[in-house]
Amino acid sequence: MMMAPTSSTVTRAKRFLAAAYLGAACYLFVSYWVLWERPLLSPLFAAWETQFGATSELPLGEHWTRHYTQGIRQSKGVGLIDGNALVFLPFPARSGANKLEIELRSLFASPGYRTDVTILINDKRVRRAPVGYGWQTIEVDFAANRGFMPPNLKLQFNLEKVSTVPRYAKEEVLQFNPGQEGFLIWRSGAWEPGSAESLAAPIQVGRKGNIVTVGNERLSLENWPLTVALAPWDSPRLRHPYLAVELPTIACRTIRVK
Amino acid sequence: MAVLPLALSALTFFSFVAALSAPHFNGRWPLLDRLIASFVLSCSQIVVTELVLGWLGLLYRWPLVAANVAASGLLFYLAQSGAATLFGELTALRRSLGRLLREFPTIGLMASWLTLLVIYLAGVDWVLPTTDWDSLRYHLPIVVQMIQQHGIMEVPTDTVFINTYPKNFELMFLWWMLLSGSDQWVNATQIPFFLIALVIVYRLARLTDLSRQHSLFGALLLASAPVMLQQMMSTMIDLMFSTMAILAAWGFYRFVRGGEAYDLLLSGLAAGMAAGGKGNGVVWPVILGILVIIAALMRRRVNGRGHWLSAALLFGLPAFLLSFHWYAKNWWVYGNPIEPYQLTVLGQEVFKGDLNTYKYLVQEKLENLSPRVIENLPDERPPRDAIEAVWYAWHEPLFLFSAFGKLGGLGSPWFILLLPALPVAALLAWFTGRRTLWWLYAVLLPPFLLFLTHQWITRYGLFVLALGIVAFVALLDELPRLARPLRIVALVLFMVSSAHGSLNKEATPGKLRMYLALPPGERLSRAEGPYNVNHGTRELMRWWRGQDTEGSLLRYHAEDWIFTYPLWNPQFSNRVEYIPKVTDYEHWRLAAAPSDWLLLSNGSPEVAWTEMMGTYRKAYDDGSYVVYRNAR
Repeated sequence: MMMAPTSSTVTRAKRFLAAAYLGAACYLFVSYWVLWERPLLSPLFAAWETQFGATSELPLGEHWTRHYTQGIRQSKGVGLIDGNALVFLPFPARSGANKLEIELRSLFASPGYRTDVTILINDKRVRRAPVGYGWQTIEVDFAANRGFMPPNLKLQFNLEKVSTVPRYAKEEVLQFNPGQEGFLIWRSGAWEPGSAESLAAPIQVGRKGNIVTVGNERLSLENWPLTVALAPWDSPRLRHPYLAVELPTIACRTIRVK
Repeated sequence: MAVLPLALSALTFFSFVAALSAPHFNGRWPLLDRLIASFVLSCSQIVVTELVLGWLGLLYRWPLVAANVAASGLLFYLAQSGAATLFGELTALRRSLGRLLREFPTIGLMASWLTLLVIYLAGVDWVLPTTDWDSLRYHLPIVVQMIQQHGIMEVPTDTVFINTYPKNFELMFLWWMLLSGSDQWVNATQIPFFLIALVIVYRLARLTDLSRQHSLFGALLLASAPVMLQQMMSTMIDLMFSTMAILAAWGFYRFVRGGEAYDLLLSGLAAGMAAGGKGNGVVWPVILGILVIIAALMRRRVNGRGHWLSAALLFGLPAFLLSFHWYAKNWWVYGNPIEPYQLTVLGQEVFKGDLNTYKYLVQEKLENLSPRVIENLPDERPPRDAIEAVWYAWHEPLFLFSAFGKLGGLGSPWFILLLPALPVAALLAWFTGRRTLWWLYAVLLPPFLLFLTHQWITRYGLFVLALGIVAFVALLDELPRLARPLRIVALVLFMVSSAHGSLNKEATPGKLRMYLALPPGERLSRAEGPYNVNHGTRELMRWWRGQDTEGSLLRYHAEDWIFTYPLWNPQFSNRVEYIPKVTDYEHWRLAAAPSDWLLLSNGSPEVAWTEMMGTYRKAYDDGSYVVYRNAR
C-alpha cells in the first residue's frame, strides 16, 4: 500500500511541479511563436513592410519566401512551384506601382508536353502564358486589382500533353521493379497546396540531389532538367509509351514591382 | 430530403436517451452520461441495421427506415416513463448551463465563439462539396458502391481500399447519403461526433473529480485543434474514430470509478466501432481489453465484486461483434486480415501485403517532410526519427491546415499548454491522491505513443487531446495561483488557433460565391474538380457533369485514374464499374460490350480494341483520357 505524502511534501511538490510546468510552457511558447516564423502572420508582415518601405524586388530564393508564399519552396536561389502557388504581395500602399514582373522557367522539359502559367490577382485571371525551359519575364498589370489589403497573386501551372506518343530527347534507363507497369509516374502522394507539409511535392531538392519517386522506389537524379524515358519493357505498354506527370515544376526567380 | 436522416437520427438517439432515463437507470446515470451512452448505442444501431440489410442485399432507403423506426419506436414506446422525466432534466441542464456561462464570462465567450464556428463549418458543409483526396479515392466510393449494389459486397476495383477498408464509419456516411438521396451536407456528418466529444471530455474531467468550471473550460479547448475543425469539413473519418476512442475510454473510466457492467458494454461498443472503422483502431479493444481484466481483478481483490471473465466478455463481445467481420472477410477473401498492409512480428512476415506499414506511414512521412520544416531545423538536416520529425512539425509553420493533418495540426494550446501538462499532472496526481487519473493515462497514452513512434499522422491521434485537456484541467484545479494566468493564455491561444484552424483552402470567398450561385443539387465535387488532381482529370470531371447519365452504365479502365467518386451523378442513378485488366481483344469485347460509356486511357490497347468493336463513338478526348459512348 502506498504511503500518503505529508502536507508539507505536497506543498513543496506542488511548487516544484508548478515551476517545472511554467518553465516548459514558457519555453514551448517562445519556441512556437517566436523562434519559428508564423506564416499565419504573412499578410500582416507584408503590410507592415510596405508601410515602412520594404524592398520592391522579392527574390524568391531567400528569406522572403518563407513569409509570403505558399506553394513555393526554395532551392538554389529560386522558388520551385508544383501546381499552384499563392503569393501575398506587399505593395498595396506603394504609390505609382502598377506592374508586376515575374521571372519564370519550366523545369519539366520533356518533349511532348507544354507548360503554361495562369496568373490570377485576387482570384481574377489576368494572364495566361506558355512557359519554356529558359528564363522568361512575364509582365502583369495589376493596377486595376489593387486593394487595401495585400493582393494575393496566384500562379497556376498546367501541364498539357501535346502529342499522344512523346519522343524523348535523351534516353535514360531507369530501374523499375519487376512486375511494375512500364510507365513512369511522379507520384504526388497526398499533395496539398494549402499546407507547408504539402510542399513535400513529388520531387524534393536537397543536398543529396533530386529525388524522384518512381512507382514505389526512389531514384536520385543529379541535374535539371529532368529528362526521363521508358526503358525497353516487355509489356503491351511498350507499344504505347506513356509518361504520366501529375505535377509540373516551375522555377520562379523574382517578382518585381514596377 | 435532409429532413429524413435528421429526423430518423433524432428518433434513434432520443429513444435511447429515453430508455436510459427510465427509473432503472436514472438514479445512477447523470444526464450527460446518458447522452454519451445513447450516442454510441444509436451509432451501433445504425451500423448493425445497415450491416444486416447490406448482407441481405436489401440496402434500400425504405427497408433501412423501417428497420430503424421499428427498433427505435418500440424502444421509445417501452421507455415512455423515461421520456416524461427527460424533458424536465433537459430544461434543468439548459438552466444550469446558462447560470454557469453567466457566472464565468470566459466560458461564455468561448462557448459563443465555438457556436459561431460550428455554424460556420455547417454552412461551409452546406455550400462546398467534398474535395479531399481520401474521400474521393475511397471513403465516398465505398458508400456509393454500397448504394449501387444495394448491399455490402466485394466489387471489382482498382482501389483495393474500397474492398478492404473496415467500413463502420462509411456506414455513417451511407446513413446520410442513402436517406437524403444526395451527398450534400455529408461533410457535416462528423459535427455531431465533435459535439459529443466535447461532452465526453467534460465528463472525463468530472469523473476525475475536477471542478465544473474548469472541466467545461477544458472541454471547449477541444476546438483549438485545427485538424479537428478541418475534419468537420470533410468525409474523412478520423474525428469519428477519435470520438469513439475516447468514448471507449469514458466507459472504462466510469467502470474503474465504481461503475457497473453496463459501462463495459458501452466501452466495448465504442471500441468495436473504432476497430471496425479504421485498421489501426484494433489497438483499442486490445489495450482496453487488457486494462478491463486488470481493473476487474483489482476490484475483486478490494471489494470482492465481479469476475474478470465476465468483465472481459462484457467488454469484448460487443467490440468483437462490431468489428471482427471486416477483418474476417479480408482474411477469407485475400488471405490477409489487414490487406493491403504487410504484418511482420519480430522480423517475421505474418501476413503478406503490398504495403509495409512502417515504410508507408513513417518512412515516407520523414522523407516527405516539408522543406520549410527542414529549413527551420537548427542545422538544416532532416529529422533523425519519427519523434524528432513530430516535434518539429508540432511547431506548425503552416499557412493553412487541412483535414489530412499529416504531422502538425493539434494546435498551439496542445503544444504549449496540454503537452507539458501530461507529465506534470501525472506526478501531481500522486501527491494529491487523485490517482484514478492514471487509469485514463493507461488507456490513452499507449495508443498515442504507439502512433507517435510508428505511424504518427495528426488525425490518427486526435484522441490524445482528451488526455491533455484533463491533465491541464487537473493543473488548473490543483494550482489555483496559476489558474487565472493559465486560463487567459489558454483563451487567447484557443481563439487564435481555432480561428486559424477553421480556415480552409477550399472555403475561400471566391469559391463560396461560386458554389452559392449554383443550385444546391449542383454543388458537387464534379462542379470544380478537386484541387489535387491533374488538369486532365479536372477537365474530364467538368465534361462528365454535363452529360445525361441517368440510368446509364459507365465502365472504366484508366490506369492512372484515381478518383472514381465524381463519375457517379448527383442522384447516384447511374452505375460505375471497373473493368479489370484483360490481355486480348476477345476478353475486352466481352467485358466492355454491355456498357453505355467507356472511360479509357488514351493510347492504351483498350482504346484500340474499342475502336475495333465499332459500336462505340468517341465522345471525349483530351489527350490523356478518352470516353466512348455506345452508339446503339
